[in-house]
Amino acid sequence: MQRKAKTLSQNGMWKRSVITYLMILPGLIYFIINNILPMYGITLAFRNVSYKLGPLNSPLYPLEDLFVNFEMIFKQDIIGILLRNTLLYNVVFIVLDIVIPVAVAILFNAIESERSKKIFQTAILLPNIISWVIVGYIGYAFLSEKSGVISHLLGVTDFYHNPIYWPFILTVFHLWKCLGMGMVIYVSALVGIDASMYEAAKLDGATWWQRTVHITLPHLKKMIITMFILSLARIMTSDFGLFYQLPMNSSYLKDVTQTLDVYVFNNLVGNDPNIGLNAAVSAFQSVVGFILVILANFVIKKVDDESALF
Amino acid sequence: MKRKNVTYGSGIVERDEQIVKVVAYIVLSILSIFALAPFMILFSASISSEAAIAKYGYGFLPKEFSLDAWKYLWQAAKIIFRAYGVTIMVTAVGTVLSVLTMSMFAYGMIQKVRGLKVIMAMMVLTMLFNGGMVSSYYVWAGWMDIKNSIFALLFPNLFASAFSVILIMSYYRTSIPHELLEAARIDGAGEFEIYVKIILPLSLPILATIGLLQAIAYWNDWTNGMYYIDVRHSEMYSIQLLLNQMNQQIEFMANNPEFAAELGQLTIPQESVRMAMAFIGVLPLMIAFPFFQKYFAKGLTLGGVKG
Repeated sequence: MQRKAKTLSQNGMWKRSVITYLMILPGLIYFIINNILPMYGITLAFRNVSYKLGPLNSPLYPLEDLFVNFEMIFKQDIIGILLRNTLLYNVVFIVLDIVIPVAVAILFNAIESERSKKIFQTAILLPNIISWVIVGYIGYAFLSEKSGVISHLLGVTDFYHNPIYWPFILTVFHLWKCLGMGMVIYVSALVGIDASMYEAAKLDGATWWQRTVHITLPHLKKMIITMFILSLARIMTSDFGLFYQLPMNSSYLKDVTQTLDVYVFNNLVGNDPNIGLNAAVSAFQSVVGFILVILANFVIKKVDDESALF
Repeated sequence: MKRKNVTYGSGIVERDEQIVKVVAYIVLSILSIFALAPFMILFSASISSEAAIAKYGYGFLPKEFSLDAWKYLWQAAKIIFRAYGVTIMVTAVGTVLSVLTMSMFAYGMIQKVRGLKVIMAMMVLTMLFNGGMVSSYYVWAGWMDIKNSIFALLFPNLFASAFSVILIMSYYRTSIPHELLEAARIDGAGEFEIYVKIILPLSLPILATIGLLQAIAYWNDWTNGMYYIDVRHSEMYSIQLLLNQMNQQIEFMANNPEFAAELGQLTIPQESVRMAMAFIGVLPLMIAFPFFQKYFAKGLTLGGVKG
């Protein structure tokens, strides 16, 4: 009797497993193709890619020269510029993406009228849902030589030829597009604050500034740290759309607008693509990001266990 | 919320609250104008005459009203409508496919069945470490051979990210009453039946939120088309790709003065047409956005950790 029950439940278990696996099958196949197979593609970075054999069938470099493609990255004349651009823009963006959205979120929270909040949020979020292609057009509307709004206003006609303006232009457009998202995220973190804490602080005569510094900001700390760690993962990657669409690939601007991603893309679609080198750049970006996340998380865990991401 | 009638330590508290409120309104109003003004330029330019744009440049308000740009685009209506058709089709099919696969996958993943933990661990790993653009390209273009097919626009974006799957899983775990599933199982319902009849309807909030983010991603996608669809297959161009292509042609010619001279002014869309095209590209999203911004904001805060 007991034995029969056991086989039955085993049978049920087995049937359940089959159905479960059938249900995850489409997703699993997709996941394998889209996420797992590209892991194998990392081997491209270690291959002597030949077009005859096809990139993924090309032979691996022998062990002693395994890192030839990686060495080649650092032999490129432009590598210094690429690394500088990628890193500097990211550092600036990481700092601004914390400071400005946090400040705006705190101000947003000071508004009581739900209607006003809704209007402000809709307006400020709108740039977020627009594609970078459209942003490229908007950039042109402001900066074009013949008819740009800013060009006419300031009498400057060489925006697409003079690199000097671009660190500023790229930063402004990045903020324009991404501010809303940051604001919404920090506003949602503010919702959790217990209103009675503010009431108590007010009774004690704490000014708005004191309440912000001693209640609001500490409350946001965890979210700020989370966002910071996640942005470290992308420190070697850049927002391809921003750097590709806005400068319109103008060769005059390369020095300040080319990042690793743009370089890889241009090389891939160019006349003489170097797949091994490009795969090495991709792998380099992933590895640096991965190490930084682990490192940052480790340091934060040492300092303040609760704020760590994992 | 009624303000309680409490006298605070000093008047300072009340007063600086008022000041902060005024500052908040001013700052957010400026930021809102800053966010919206560029869209105004697109529209104004599209209904301004070419001569006025040449003379005064683009502006926030139309100068010398003219519908030339729209008339010009009307001549190219076939291309534009086709691109719209591609965009709408890809957005609709892609979003539905994406939400269904992800939700079904997520429901399978929360079962207590052997082997799922390994899959889960690999998913988390790919979140932290991935193959990068180049190897993705070779997998999709080389092994899967999706180049120049409609799948190129549908597949590379199908799973928003491993993170969205995890979000759906945690929603199933926390927001769907366990007793309901147990009762259905006792009544003899199979897991697939449970998924269709209980899970799908009850998880609509999260699926709608993720579906919305996916729909926007599909609508805006231009990179996949750029990687996987050749110029000679331009009948598969979505509206964003068409815009991208136009922009690149103009920029290519602008950087090569000989080309511009050779091909003549005709092939270069004029300044007003350019902006009219961009306006067409954003219009549907702009109209729909006020209605779904609430859900979009919710999706962002869910995905905030995703970044």
